[in-house]
Amino acid sequence: MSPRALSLLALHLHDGEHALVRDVSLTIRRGKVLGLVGTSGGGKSLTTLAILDLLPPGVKRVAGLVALDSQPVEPATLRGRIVGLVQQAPRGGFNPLVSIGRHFLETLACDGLRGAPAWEKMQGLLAEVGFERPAEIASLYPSQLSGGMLQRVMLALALARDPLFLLADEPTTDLDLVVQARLLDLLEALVQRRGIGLLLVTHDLSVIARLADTVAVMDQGRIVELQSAHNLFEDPAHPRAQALVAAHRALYA
Amino acid sequence: MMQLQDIHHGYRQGGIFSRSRRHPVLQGARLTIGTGECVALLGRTGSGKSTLGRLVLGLERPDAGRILFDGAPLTDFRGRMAPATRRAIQAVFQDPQAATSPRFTGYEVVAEPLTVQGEASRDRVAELLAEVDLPPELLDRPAHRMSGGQLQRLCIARALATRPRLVVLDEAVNSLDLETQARVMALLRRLRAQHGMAFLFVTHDLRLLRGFADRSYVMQDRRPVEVADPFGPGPLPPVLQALRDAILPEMPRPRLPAGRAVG
Ligand SMILES: Nc1ncnc2c1ncn2[C@@H]1O[C@H](COP(=O)(O)OP(=O)(O)OP(=O)(O)O)[C@@H](O)[C@H]1O
Ligand SMILES: Nc1ncnc2c1ncn2[C@@H]1O[C@H](COP(=O)(O)OP(=O)(O)OP(=O)(O)O)[C@@H](O)[C@H]1O
Ligand SMILES: [Mg+2]
Ligand SMILES: [Mg+2]
Repeated sequence: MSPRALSLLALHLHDGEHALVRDVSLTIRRGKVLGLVGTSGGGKSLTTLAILDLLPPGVKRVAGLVALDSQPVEPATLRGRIVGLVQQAPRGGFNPLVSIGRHFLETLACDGLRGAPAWEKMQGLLAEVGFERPAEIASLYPSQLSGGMLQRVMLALALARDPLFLLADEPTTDLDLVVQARLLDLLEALVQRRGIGLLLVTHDLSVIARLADTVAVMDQGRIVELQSAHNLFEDPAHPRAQALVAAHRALYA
Repeated sequence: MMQLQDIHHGYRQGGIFSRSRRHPVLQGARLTIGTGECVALLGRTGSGKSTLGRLVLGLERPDAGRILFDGAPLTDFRGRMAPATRRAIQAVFQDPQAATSPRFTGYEVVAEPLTVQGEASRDRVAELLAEVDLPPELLDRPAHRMSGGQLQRLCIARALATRPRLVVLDEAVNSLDLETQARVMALLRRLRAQHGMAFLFVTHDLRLLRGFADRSYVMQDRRPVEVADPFGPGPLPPVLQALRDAILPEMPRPRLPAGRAVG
């Protein structure tokens, strides 16, 4: 049976001098969206990367466990097939010397998909993230795409291997609102129809309002609040959560 | 102060060896920025906003058309800018990782434009960091060890350090949490009032414009079209209407009970 939940247990991260993330536990459930919000520099991206053992040099995991349905697993083995990742800075995730098409073909080859079927799958994925002429995009190099275009390609690549869980770090920050709305519809469909479990890291509470079931608020390396999206907006408890909701409300005043 | 007249610009696409054609991005583009003015540029992804920003910065030369700064050409016939002009125009790019050398420390990144004028000091740089809500610890941290939002704010501090006359802000506050975003916007307003700083504020988030932009343009059919009031009743350019219709609601809507698929 395929796993229903991906958990991170008691994660502690350290840079040699300071604790960066302290005692963070999260559970991502299939068919559900867990939002992760919080202060810039609060530890959202490092927490996300730790789930796949992709921490940058200089950051050490001093404690913490990753588990599928409460069975501890080796985080690196989850990459791609079980857990897809959309990184915060899309440009860094691409090899500048390799065309977009080849990025896909190499990824799809991991599952033995080659030739025409691989090409077709790539076109389908690129169309799904909103490209009207997928073949044209495939021939381009990363430097030839705008920020928002790269972000969508990154999502398409993360979905290429049909993962059960998706970790998306600011997946819509560089997108115009029309494309953002479309991508959020796509993510919702993946969660509801295909039963993907989604970790959605964003600073935009309207994205949380649109998609999240549960929300964790992070500040200075800790989770300071964890509750349903509905309750977060109606009745934020922690001062940090209250300030975030107030700043969000002000955008609509 | 800044005038773009009838600009045409495009790129060759595809690999070096592929049959490449020029892909038009801007056609007949016009835009003006007055002294101390905040001009917003809206548009769909891939519509040419960053391209226009690079032209204003003199990083690229247009295929055709003229760019004037204080009435004189922005670049000379070799494509070079006068040093004074270069200092007067600063930028914050969409992609902070690409805009900073990863090994530079927070201090080095922000001090760089100041050293030219001999104004760099740890105290001054710490002050500039505080303006964008960054703690002094970041003075000695290399850029590659910062979070996305910290690095973005470092780039904002650097761009504002010399108190330039014009700053191009290309999706500069998108990746910041909402509290920080509000504080950075307040800082920009203050600098504008104190120093008459002008901004070209490129964004896709219409919600940020209210009470900030003096004039707004939206990229429609490869050129910026000026809109009197982006929030008014219209008629609006179709692109702007579509962007406006796509603003997400403020609050979660009541959701279907768990487990029930839609559609
Ligand atoms: N490679 C690194 N080495 C040391 N410290 C790091 C490294 N990367 C990030 N940090 C620090 O760890 C803390 C958490 O960073 P992280 O990137 O997880 O924040 P974040 O919540 O994702 O912020 P943002 O919203 O700005 O993206 C920050 O204070 C940052 O400076
Ligand atoms: N160096 C380049 N080489 C080839 N094509 C390019 C290059 N830079 C940009 N383009 C193309 O020019 C068009 C406009 O890109 P630009 O980056 O200006 O868009 P944008 O409006 O800033 O989009 P976004 O909101 O996604 O950042 C896109 O179609 C892009 O593919
Ligand atoms: Mg981050
Ligand atoms: Mg851009």
